[in-house]
Amino acid sequence: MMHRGALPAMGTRFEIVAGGADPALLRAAVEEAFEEISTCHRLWNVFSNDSTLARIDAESAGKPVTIDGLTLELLQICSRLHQQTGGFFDPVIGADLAAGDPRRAPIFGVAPRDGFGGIELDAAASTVRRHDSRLRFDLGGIAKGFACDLAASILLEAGVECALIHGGTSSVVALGAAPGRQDWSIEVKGYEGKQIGLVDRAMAVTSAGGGGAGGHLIDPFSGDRLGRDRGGAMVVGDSATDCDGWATALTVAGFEGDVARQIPATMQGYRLNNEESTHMKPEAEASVEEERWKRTVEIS
Amino acid sequence: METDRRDFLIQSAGALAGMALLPGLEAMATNVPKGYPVAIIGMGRQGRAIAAELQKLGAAIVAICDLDEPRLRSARRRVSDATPYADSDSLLTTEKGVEAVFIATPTHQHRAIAEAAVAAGKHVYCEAPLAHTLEDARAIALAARSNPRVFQVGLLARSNPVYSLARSFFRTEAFLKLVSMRAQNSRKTSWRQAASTAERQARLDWRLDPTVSLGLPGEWGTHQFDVIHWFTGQYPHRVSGNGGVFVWEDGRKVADTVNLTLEFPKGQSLQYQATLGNSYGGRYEVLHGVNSAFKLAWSHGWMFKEADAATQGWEVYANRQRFFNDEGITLIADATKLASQNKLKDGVGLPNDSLHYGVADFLLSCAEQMKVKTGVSEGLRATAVGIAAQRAVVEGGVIEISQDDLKEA
Repeated sequence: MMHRGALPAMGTRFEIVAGGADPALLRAAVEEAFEEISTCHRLWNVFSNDSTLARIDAESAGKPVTIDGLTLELLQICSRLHQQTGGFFDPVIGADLAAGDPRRAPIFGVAPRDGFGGIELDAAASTVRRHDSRLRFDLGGIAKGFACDLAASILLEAGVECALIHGGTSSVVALGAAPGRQDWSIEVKGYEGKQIGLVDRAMAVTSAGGGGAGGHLIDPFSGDRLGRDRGGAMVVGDSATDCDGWATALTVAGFEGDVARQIPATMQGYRLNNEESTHMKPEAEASVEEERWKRTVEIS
Repeated sequence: METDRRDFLIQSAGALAGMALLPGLEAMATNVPKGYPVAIIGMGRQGRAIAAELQKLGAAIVAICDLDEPRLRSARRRVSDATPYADSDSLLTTEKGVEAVFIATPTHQHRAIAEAAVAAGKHVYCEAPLAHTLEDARAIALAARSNPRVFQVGLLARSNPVYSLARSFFRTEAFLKLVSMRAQNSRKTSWRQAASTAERQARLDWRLDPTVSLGLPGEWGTHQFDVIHWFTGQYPHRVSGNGGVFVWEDGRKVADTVNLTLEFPKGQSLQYQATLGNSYGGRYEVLHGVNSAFKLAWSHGWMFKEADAATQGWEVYANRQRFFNDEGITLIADATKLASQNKLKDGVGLPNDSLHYGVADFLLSCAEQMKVKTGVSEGLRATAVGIAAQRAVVEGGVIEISQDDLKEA
């Protein structure tokens, strides 16, 4: 028995396909997982005045803002990834993104280039402090992965051991293997091997294309948008959150330099070719009975 | 600089909207005492939502409690510096420094915890409905009365700035006279909880256990019935209804769809519909008056004026939204301030969830020993109505609600 659910959140569509014997349990577990994803959406939505990010933006520089445990956990991961990737993963590029997005509040003056270095986290007090009020968070490069990981933990807690979770097809967590198969088979356009099989693993893909004119990725050192011809990166690992961060960093830094050599041994990074657009397609149709899931969705 | 007519009228809109009587939204947040020591008992969805609002308000969540280990573990991820407890008695006896306790357990567990919290001398915030039986609700009320500390019930409309604003209009010529009322709560969800063992499943699925659940009328309706009680000052004297399991045919006995009619002493009635099978329209209440109608949807509110109602000058500049053939004036909390900053449109929709204002009110009441907006009397009466409404669905008939049912003892 398979159950499939979908949820619009974080400006994209999350989907969960879960397998098991009890349909009521599957549905309840998927509903609960979506509740968690909705919580992440509310916390980190840069377009909502109610979000934690909006509260941080509204506070003046130097003042600590109390944050919830999930936000603290995510920002701590961001801090680690920022260090590990030599600053190529930086979630404090909101000002640069806002400059090209009429939906976001403008930030007056040039945003400083210290990025996450201008952020101070106090885990004991659960606070975050910006050194400059022009620094803006944007967790778009990592929040989907975190939400997928959180959803996976809910499913596991409920006893669901067979599921595929994705956020906008760019962040994926596979629990177990697809029923009747050895893995969850994911087709990725731009990847030489074409398909990758996942069992109890996560992955993320990032592409410099998409996101309107000029691409949606920004070099945190220069503030420039990456050209669409930059290609992309796919990263496989144990955590979709980490995969998200590394895929972004590798796309920005490229595979030639030090960043690619710093990737942890438990993770694998793959270059995605500069095809017209990069796509990912979860290939689960052989085992998902009538719940056929055979679409190709452009990643964002 | 000359104040032009437009600015003057916009600013008057705020005053006419009764905002002079309401606290500013920012002022409310800043007045809440930072670091106020609290505990939360029950860390399911509602407990976690309360924790999030407490964190926003800068309270210190010293301890959390849930007898369900996975839930407690999940909660610790959000409130990592709180001491976890598996039973509420241990929390109450150990955490002497905790001033206030939030009770967000299943409804049928409220009584024992509320009585213990009151006996421990804590301020108490208890989720609504207060209890699953009148006997338990009265026992909680009795306990609350024995303690000079604050006891607030989680009926959130009374703390909601948009609802306060609408209520100030309700009592003026802008609304004039109540004609009829309608409310709904539609959400597509199974109401089941996911659990890996049958024992845990049974414990978490208490809403589907007919021996303790007040069903949709009690668990959802109570909150919306209280909006009507608060606006009209009346409680229904009769309720009739029906319902059934039309969507989730998984062996459950608790209805997934209900229709109710609540009759009020002055002759008007409330038509109420709730379902777990469809989400269209979500949750809202509509009050029809002779001069206008209000549609209240928790974070948003609108006033729809009748064509023959007198026009106020400020209406020309009010923010409006179109709904097919009707045009609603958006009810904006903090309108005076926003108008003065030319940001009236920014005020459409509350910046926080309703729960935020309820929790903020409670903390303010605790710190300043102020009277709560939703006390145990209001909680008891709303619960009594919810219990009667659930009986109407289960028994399929007409249930009379006597004045005695609404009394504390």
